[in-house]
Amino acid sequence: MIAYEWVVWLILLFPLAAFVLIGVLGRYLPEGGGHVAVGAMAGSFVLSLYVFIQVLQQGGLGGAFTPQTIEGFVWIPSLLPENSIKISLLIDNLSALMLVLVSFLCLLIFIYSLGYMHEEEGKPRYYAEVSLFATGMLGTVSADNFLQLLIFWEIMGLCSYLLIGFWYRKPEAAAAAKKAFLVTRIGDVLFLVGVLVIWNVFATLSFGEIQRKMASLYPGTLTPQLLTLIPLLLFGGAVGKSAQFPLHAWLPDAMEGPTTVSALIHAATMVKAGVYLTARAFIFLVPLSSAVEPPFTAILVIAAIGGFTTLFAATMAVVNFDIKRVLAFSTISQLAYMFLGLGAGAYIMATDVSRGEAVDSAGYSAALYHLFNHAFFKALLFLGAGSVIHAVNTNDMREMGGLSKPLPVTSKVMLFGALALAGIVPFSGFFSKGEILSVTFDAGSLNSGFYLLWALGVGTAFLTAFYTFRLWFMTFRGEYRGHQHPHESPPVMTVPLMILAGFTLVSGLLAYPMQGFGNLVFFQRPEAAFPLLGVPFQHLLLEGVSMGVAVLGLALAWAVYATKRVPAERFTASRGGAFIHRMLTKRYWIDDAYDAFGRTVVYGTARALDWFDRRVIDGIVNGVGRAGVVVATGTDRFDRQVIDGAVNAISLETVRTSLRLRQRQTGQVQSYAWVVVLGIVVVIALMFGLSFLQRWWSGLGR
Amino acid sequence: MTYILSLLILIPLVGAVVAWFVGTSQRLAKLIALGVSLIETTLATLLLVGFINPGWAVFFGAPTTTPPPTPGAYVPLYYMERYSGWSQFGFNYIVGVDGLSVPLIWLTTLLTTLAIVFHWDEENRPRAFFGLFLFLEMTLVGVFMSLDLLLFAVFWELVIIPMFFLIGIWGGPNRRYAALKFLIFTQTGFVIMLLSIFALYFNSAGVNAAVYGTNANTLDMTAFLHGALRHETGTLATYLTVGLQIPIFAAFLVGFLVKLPSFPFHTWLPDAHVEAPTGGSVLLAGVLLKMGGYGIFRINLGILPDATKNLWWVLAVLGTVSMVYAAFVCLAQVDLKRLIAYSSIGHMGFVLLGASSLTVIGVQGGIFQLFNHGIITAILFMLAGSVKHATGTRDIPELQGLAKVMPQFSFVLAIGFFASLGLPGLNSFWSEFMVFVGAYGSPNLGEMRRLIIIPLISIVVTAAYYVYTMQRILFGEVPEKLGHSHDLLPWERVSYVVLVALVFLVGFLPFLFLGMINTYTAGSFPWLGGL
Amino acid sequence: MIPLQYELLLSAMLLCIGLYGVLARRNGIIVLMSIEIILNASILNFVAFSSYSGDASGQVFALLGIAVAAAEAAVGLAVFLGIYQTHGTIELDKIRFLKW
Repeated sequence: MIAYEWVVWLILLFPLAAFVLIGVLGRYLPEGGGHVAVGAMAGSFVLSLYVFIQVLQQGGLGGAFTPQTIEGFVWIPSLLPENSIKISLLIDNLSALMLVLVSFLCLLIFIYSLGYMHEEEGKPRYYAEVSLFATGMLGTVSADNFLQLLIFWEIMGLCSYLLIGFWYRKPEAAAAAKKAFLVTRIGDVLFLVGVLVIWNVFATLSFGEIQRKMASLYPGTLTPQLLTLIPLLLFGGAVGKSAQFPLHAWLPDAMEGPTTVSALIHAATMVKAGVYLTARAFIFLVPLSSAVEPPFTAILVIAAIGGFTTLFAATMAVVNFDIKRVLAFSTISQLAYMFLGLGAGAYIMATDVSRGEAVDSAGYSAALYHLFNHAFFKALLFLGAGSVIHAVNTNDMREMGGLSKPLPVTSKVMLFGALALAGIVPFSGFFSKGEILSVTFDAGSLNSGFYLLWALGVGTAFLTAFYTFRLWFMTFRGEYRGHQHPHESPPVMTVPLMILAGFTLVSGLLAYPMQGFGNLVFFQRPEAAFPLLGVPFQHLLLEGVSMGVAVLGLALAWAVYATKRVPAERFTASRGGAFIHRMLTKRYWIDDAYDAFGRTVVYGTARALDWFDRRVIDGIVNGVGRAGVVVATGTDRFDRQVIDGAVNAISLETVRTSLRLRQRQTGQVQSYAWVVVLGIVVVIALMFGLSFLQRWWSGLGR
Repeated sequence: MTYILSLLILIPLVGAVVAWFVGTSQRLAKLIALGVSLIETTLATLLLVGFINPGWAVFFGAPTTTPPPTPGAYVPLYYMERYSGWSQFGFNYIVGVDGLSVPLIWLTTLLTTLAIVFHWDEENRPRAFFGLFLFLEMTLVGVFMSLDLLLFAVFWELVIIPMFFLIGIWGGPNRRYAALKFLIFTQTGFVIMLLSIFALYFNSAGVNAAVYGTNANTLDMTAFLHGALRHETGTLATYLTVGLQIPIFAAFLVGFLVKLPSFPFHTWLPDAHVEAPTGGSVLLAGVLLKMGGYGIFRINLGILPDATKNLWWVLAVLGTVSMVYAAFVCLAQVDLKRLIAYSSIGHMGFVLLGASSLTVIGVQGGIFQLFNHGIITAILFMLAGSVKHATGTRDIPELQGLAKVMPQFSFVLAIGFFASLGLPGLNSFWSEFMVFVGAYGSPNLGEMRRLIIIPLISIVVTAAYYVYTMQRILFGEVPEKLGHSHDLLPWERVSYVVLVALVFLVGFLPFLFLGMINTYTAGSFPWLGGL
Repeated sequence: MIPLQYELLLSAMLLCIGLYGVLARRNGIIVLMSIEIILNASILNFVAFSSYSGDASGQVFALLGIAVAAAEAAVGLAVFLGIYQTHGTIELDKIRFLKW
């Protein structure tokens, strides 16, 4: 148990308070509130370190820390207290490590921002938004249940939107922000469906509770289909957030934001949230008890998407000239490595569980190890790129070159980063990438599809080294092709760079005292395979292969871009080559396909339904209205002509009849006398006639 | 203060009369109106606070658990006043509140105050204008409080009158058509509802006898509510039969669907909103629409549970169609206010979906959505008013780059839009999430659970149109003619601050309102499944 | 004794002659005279029935009738005199004072 567990809340509250403070008072603070942001992050970092050290101490080096849940107030109440949803934080090995990683990187990047954003306007907005983002990321990695993860996840999405569109006057930035938000929203909806299904099946969203309930609910409520569906839905969210195929299109465009934002959000932290979520989804992928059949299909999907995306993105990085976009594609590719590692590792672990063997969590820890290392060297590369952009005022590498003299520190640290990314020993990237590829190869013995994925991974390693050093050589070697006066960045920017560069060397070795990175992040089992110590010969061979292709890639880049012995045009000279080049530059036309889909299908449906609403439905309403008017007019006419007409006709006829009748008054006596005589005659006739009739009638009766 | 409920109805009525007829100056009318509405809001806040924590209800006594005689059946937070002077005619004056109506009443009073503040510079016949607002407030509060069907019907009808005039006199260029459309639509729905009220009246003797011991026809809603509850918990054998409940349910539903509004009775809303003055839109969207939702929960679910169990799918289908349809239509809109109007239609679809889920959490979500949407839509319509005032247009193609010239406005717009699309951390997320959880977990769906993906499409499309609109009107370069637009006026700022603070507060601490809603739902509807 | 029928026939013939005179003659005096003839016919009828039945009331009515006839003739003549003096004619076609 952590002593003083309320400090964990403070880890989240410091950047949140900074957000509020800078948001309200930012205008009056020096540097737009940047110092406040840095201070808050420093506080969070110190506290995270405290928590992490406690976790290590209590778990024991090589041991396991019992996950601890810290509960807060209720969000959604329910009559049964155990069903109410509360805000609560989880402290276990993984979350403690992530807290330290995130707060440290945020701290370094915030310090760097003090220099990078110094001349920008809108600084309060920037610092407020990144502070909120830090809250979101810290909340994501410390969440105890999937709902809370989702909540902070989306807060990060909001900050990503706001920060990509930071220079909102640029239409490209605004469009990129919109694209990022919408594409990740699709992933978020899948995540949300996953949460709904989890709630429906387990009646709880907490990681620990789910793990405990899983065996009892299987296979009744938790059918095998649902067990496959749930992690896939969660992975859907991860695909969106971590920019994997097919929801990858937003990340390259997201480079429109400031470089510090790209470093922090789109390289070091937010995009890692998808990997983190998938790691948490291991409770579904690798069930604790052997009575539950693991969802191998879901695992394969994760690994396959990872394996495919890694090569897919790397190919697009090769042809890009924007320094930040190359790094963006590289990020997608490296994230895919992590998913590949998670998938392969899960496959092995799941197989172990289903066979009742001891679980070997090598893949799990390898992927997270790569996450850890990648955060450092990618942030380094991005911040270095920021330094370069700051110096030459352009992103386009074609206008750079020969910058190693005016920017000595930057070029050296970026070299470190490049070597780490390419996976050259003894930099950290070598160990983690090699480990992932080894695990993938091992998984091949269980399912030969993994051999294909391993091949994709190796190919990617080649391309990674190639495009990384293409970037480095184009930027720092040769003659300067631009027209600016580049100079080195101020220390507030270069010191964080150097710190990060140091980490690219040692972050791998950090795991030594703990007997393996697996101990830091363990899942179900403390130890994991440790690189290079007690590793079977096969693994050494594999690591040699991965390093070998990396060196090949470096050599090719050297040949093409540094020494110009092989002209770049040779690759695009042939028709096939040119076509491939165009396809890669156009990003396989996927972006265009999405745009077209949005414009035609989505917008078209919108326009159609709007027309329907206006013309058809409202038309019916208005038609009913008009019909009402017609009926009313008809009724009025009926009333006036028919009914009133009858009334008038009666009076008219009466008058006419009286007119005719009075003409009988002739005034002549003799006519009157005639009438009298006639009357007498009629009366007599009637009298006689009636009596005659009567006699005839009674005569008949006899 | 045991007459707080009747006071809540009386004060705005008196205020309306005073504001309208006393004095000739605009200033005086404004001040009177503001003063009265502030008093009303304070009273409503006291009521609300009493429901959040009964220990704080010092001024008017704690909420009571009221009749009927049989104990243990219906114990929500329930506070009632009854005057039975006219019961020989079959109707009484009964007002009462519980966890369903208190948030809505509070919302009504708050929005009226803010609407009055927002129109602080109204020049056109201000006395009548503000007087009508207060009158509208009275009728709205009356609807939410009435527990006698006749009283309910009377207040329901009365709501239409001030709204009609507000639209028809102070509205936009096409106001006559819009006001008339609103009137006729709502009136038609009401007349259909009236049939149900009659049907209930003539079948009420048995229920009345079982609950209150008087064997006479009555329009007392509480008799039906208690009767339904006891029937569902098994203590009352015979209640209204299903065959009787279903047509009553249908007729009431038609009236409420028109008000909600739901597809296909929704076409009055875009016109009414586009033409109404801003304060009128705020109250129209913020509160009048909630009448429909309130009616569904209070009457359709409360009095007619068996029919609900049979006809839930109607609500589900209409809710889903409303959500998806309205989202798509929003995307094609050009007038900002019309876009917001359609988004209201979509969000009310959530309420229907929540009500149809027949789970505690789903129904809670639906009720909470009523409240949340009221706040958010008030912000959005005020924004439409602000932008019209500042730039002279509401046309989205003509607006661009406003983030540069109107930063405060842009900030509020961003918050309003993100709140409306259900971003976690803001209030609407909770209600939408609860509705989805409830709908997915509904005990009535078997394999059809997968259909949940259809309303989820609306989430993506909603995000699309909001973000797209933000991109178009906030970002980019500022065109010439908008260069001199002023930012928010001081009184607009006051309204926004209150509402935005509320958005964050409810987003962060939803249990403040969910507590009473949960008590109401769990207490009144024991027949709901799920958690 | 004279059979009653002959008496009645005479009466009837006189009635018809008188009726013809009333209806078809233009001159007012002739009309008056025709009225006298009708009255005479009815008086004759009375007498005939009285003598046939031996009842004396018939003769009484006959005497009454003669008196009435004389009075009526006098009045009628006086009226016609007055009409002749004011309008200069006693042609019945031309006397339409009660026309509508």
